[in-house]
Amino acid sequence: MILKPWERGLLYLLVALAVFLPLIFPFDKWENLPTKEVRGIYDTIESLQPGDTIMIAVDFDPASEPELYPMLLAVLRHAFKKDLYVLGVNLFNPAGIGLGTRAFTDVGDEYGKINGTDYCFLGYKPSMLAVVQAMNAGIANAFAVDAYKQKTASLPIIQRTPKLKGGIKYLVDLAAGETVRPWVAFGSTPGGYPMGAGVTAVSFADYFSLYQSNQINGLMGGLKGAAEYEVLIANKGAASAGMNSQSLVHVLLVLFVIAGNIAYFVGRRRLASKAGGAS
Amino acid sequence: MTAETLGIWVATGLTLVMLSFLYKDNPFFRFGEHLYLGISNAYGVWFLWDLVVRPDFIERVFVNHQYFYITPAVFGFILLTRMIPRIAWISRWSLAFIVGWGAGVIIGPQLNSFLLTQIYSSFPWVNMQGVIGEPASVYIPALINSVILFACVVAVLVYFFFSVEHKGAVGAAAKFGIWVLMVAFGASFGSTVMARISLFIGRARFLVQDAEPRGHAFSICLAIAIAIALISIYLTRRAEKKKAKEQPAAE
Repeated sequence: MILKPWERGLLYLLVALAVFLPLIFPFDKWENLPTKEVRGIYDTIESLQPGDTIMIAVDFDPASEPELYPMLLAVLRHAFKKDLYVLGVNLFNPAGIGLGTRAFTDVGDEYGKINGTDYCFLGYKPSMLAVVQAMNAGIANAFAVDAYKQKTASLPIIQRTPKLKGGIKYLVDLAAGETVRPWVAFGSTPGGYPMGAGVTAVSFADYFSLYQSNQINGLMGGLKGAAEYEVLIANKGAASAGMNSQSLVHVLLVLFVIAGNIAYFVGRRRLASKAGGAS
Repeated sequence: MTAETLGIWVATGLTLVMLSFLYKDNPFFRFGEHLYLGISNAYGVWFLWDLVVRPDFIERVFVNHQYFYITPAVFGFILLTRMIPRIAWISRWSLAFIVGWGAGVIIGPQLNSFLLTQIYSSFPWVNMQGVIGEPASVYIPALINSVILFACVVAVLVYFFFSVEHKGAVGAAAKFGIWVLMVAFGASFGSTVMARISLFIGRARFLVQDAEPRGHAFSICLAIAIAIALISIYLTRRAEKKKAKEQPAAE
């Protein structure tokens, strides 16, 4: 059964209304209750002491910005609020550097943090496996300069945390692609650092096995995961704003599926009765 | 007009241009598509030069005089000989190094992290270690989860075991395995729908909450302009088709 052009247009219109209306007329009725997977990341960061260093791997690009950028802002806000030092890196795509520098600078300014002392965004390097191993042994050797063109060897944060293994207390990988597994294999293996991950909703189910096996101790999935983290840090932002639209569209899609199935069976019965009448 | 307003107008315009594909493939969408490809390629090339080649090769060799970095650079340049068929064989030296190094580095950690650890954590008695001594309200659900997990893993493995005919007990297990796979695919598909809607929400939020207040109704005006242009294209094409149909009839 092929949809007529006006029927397709109607579906688009309904989806557009379900997305736009809650954004134009925002409301705060539906709660995003934090799940234990998201709470895993929150609790770990919460348990760290001021002065500890964590790393956030900004392994995404603008194509996944609506889902993963709110997670980045939420985790950064939590870390800076706890007075943790934060290192950032992108090993996925150079197009993500702009997002990383913008988030680190904006949230850093929000909490009065100093670039190079309280945080450092290292930027991008290709060949992820080699770079992770190099950073495990020495960050300045892997990244001679950071994304802001500062010499890393002279930065206070790098002098305080010269290498990942034995240096950072936690790693959060915000991943649009297949970067979580290499971080697990080369970073959080025994003798490494504990790790959590924030991923797109598409890959959330794939990475659940890593959470189940305790290879990562927390997992955020898509816009919903980001909204839950915003609730945990009591700072509702872009993800919470988008969740009303998300919920409405999900209800609409379920209705579409039901309507589509009814139309299919009614159509099949009509065809069968026509064929019976013709014979 | 500030640079910020101009930037918002460009972003808004390109967002609406890409959304015009919902009508059908059109010149506006094609323009946006080609612009994206060109800009993202140029951006990638510039960043690779600026963040990799310059600091890791030029500065290390010519400024810091660390001449041993010439060796990997030579291996890198050798890869480019693939573009000259007569000497393309030289590129295999670099490829041999990349493949050998890659295999050596990856095999151990991959086996350890994703085969052995995953198998180990599938066993119920391993999963239950964290809840031993917990109250029944925690212990019993965890036990049920662990048993279901183990049964699903075994059933899916049986489904992919083709050396024995799938009938009898093996057939029943394989059938259960298919059901498990279907549930997994359903979960993945549901998540994928959620992700695609999230992307649209991201753009919609930009239009409503970021662009509209600072862009001075530009997105609304441009949306109307694009809609008018698409409708006029549609009407022109329909008139042309009608004319083409009428002409042979008149002849």
